[in-house]
Amino acid sequence: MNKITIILIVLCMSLSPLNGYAEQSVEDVLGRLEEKMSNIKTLQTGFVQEKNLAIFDKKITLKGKIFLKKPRLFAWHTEEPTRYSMVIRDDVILQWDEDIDQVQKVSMKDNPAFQTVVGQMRKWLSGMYMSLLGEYNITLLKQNPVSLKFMPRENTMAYNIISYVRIVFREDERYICEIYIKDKTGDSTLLRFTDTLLNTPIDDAAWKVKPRG
Amino acid sequence: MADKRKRLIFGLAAGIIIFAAIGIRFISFDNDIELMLPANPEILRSLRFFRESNISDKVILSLKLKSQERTTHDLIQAVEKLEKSLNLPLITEVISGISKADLIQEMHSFLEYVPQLLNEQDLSKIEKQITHAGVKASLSRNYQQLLTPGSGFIMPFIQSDPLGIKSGFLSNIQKLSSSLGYSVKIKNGHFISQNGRNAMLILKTPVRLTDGFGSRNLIAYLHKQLESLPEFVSADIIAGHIHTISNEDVIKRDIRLTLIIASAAFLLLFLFIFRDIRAVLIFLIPLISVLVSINLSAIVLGKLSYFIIGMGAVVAGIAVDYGIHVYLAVRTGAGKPDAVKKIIRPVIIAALTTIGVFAAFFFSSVKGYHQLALFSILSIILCLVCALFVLPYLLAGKHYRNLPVMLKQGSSMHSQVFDRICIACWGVIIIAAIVLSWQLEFNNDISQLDGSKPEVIQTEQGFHNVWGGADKPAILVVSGENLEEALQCNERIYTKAVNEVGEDNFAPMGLSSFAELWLSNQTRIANSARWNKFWSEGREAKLKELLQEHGQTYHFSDDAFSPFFKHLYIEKIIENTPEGLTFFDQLKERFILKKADGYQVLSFFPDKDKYVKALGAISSRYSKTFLVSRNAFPACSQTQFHQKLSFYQELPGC
Repeated sequence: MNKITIILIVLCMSLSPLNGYAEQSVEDVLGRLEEKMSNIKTLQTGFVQEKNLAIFDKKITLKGKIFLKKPRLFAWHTEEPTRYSMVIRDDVILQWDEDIDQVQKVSMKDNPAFQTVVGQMRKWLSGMYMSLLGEYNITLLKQNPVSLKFMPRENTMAYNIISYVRIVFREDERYICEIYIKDKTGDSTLLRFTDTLLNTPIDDAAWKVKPRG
Repeated sequence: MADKRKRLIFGLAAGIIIFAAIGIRFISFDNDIELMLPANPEILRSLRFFRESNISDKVILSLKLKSQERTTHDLIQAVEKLEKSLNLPLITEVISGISKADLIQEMHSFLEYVPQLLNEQDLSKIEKQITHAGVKASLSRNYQQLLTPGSGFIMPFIQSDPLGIKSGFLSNIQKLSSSLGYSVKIKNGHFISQNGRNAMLILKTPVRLTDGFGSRNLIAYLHKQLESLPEFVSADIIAGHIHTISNEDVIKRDIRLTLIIASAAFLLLFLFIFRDIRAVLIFLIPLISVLVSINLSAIVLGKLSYFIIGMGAVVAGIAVDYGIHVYLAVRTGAGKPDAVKKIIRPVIIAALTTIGVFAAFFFSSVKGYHQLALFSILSIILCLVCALFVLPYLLAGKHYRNLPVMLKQGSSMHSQVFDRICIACWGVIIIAAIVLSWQLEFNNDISQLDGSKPEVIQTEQGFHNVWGGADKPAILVVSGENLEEALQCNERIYTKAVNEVGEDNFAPMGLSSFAELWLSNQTRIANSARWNKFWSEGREAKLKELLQEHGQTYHFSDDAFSPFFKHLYIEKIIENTPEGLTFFDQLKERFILKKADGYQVLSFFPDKDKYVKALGAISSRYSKTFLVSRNAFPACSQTQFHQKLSFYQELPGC
């Protein structure tokens, strides 16, 4: 056996545990994050979202607040550029926007479009990504703070739509601080969370779809 | 000479018994429930519908994660491995879910057909949307949906349908997909339960439910393949074939049990009363007669029902009387075979009376009764012949001890007073029975003919707890010589049902009709012409203008909705149904059955009396339609059974 062969064998042997470690570490990280996030009972956070969609003639920057109370309540309120509210209680959606000024009630069961929209929101905002392993190839981009990249696997619904999703967690890993979604069409969404509060009481007004005054 | 005759009879009897015993292994047995039901066209049509449709012959595998530490991902991996191991010839296709990869593209492609499906009322609604307020509301809704994360999934739908005209059809697809009442979610293209702990595989098999041998092979094959599942996954098989096997096993076990109990009772009775080992022959004669009759009946009828064979013990019980009479005659006649001559006439008359009753069953419309009649009559004749012409020679020449006291003529118990008491008691019992018979209620639930083992039923209950679907819907079947004819009739009935009952009134699951998804060629041609005319009368330009004007408020680009206008006018109308859309093909398979003589279009609705009556009234106006209701079925068969009962009550000796 010549020297080169020995070096190759040693190199291969030394690389294979590294591959195994990398594979294992993603699941370990996901498990660790899930454990931390499973303690979240309530969430209230501000957000700034930048949408670069071809359907719009300019980049849309959205500012608002998200409220979550497990297991039944979710609210999405935007303040800029227009005021809009969506409150989800179980599978019923109430929505209101200032232009129309009407409260609309929609059952998710009867509205597949809303189901998709809400499903995507819940998926990425939940922070519970272990169950996505079958749907996405997940890679760990950075350990501190944790940054993950999700690439849809073939034969999934996301495969033809999403190019990748990048998620950055807070330093304390208790919630997400940034979500970036790149679509296959070139459209993109960047969502940043600000002033996030975990497990603090949420004002009942958060669940009112139409703001007072 | 007598010994030679005796040996000849012995030899002949032994030969027949051996042939009969061997022959029984080659007989085809049948557990088709139809044999046991009156030949009512409605009942038979319903049963045949289930048998001939692809509804009841499918096999479902329900797989469950046993370990809490394992995830849905692990379950899906196990399912995929199992799926690959299921092959021909017993499994022709495995459906593990719906591939979502192309689902959005497929839905998008299907929605291009929607203008062909919209009627005049739909166009009126669109007309109301082409206003400043209407367009503004639509744009606002689109804008807000597009600003949520993951808007890429709905982008193509919004661009090609800014007014949301077609969104109702997405709901219809969803509604039709859940028309059988199962609660399923799709994960990575697989059927997964709501809690993520179970997966479902639907298997297509060429093995028919009534094929006992094939069912056994199929289930054995599945059990073998399931052995390869990892230890953290368990599997349940849900299939009509399990009922077939279980019923066969139960009937066979019952026949064996009945024979053992009857044999023991007869033997003990004969040996205790007659105190003679030859009394065993009395018991053997009906048993052998039944065995030979099964073979003869099978030669005449081809197949024999297990239900009928189960009656063998009853027939043997009736026919054993002839042997008893002959035995007593020979024994009281000092062991001479000639002693039988005294009783030949009354015994033959008794047998003919019994044969007459069974012969009456030939007039029944229940095919199973014909089998019962033939089998019973053959058994009785054979038993009679053996008892009168064989048994005396087997009993002859023996010096019998005295008969026990209670069997002797003129015993002290047999007084005139005792006779009168017996007759009086009998009279009272008969009168009481006649009175009580008026209040008699018959349990006509045909599911009671299903003798499947409790574990089969428990498995099915467990399956329904996870997946739902316990309440089976009723089915409206519309037939046609071709698909176009069936679809046209289906549309007419659907429209009438919606107008007369109200679509939303079919609680809880609603009326699921293929007419909500696809229409006949004739209707689509008319709709298309109307659609094209609608937009060509200035509405296209008006909508463009309104979208342009209000789109600016929401920063929509100028060509944001160009996909809608690009395909606005219908240029080509497909003749039959869309092709290459997997979700559509799967729905079509559920709602449309191709038959040898045409097509059947099915609609599903809650199996409740009021809906069955309402749709029954509508469908009765159309000759090629019928309803299949599991709940209404017993009522239908009850009437038939009562009619038959009246007929038999009027027969002498019944």
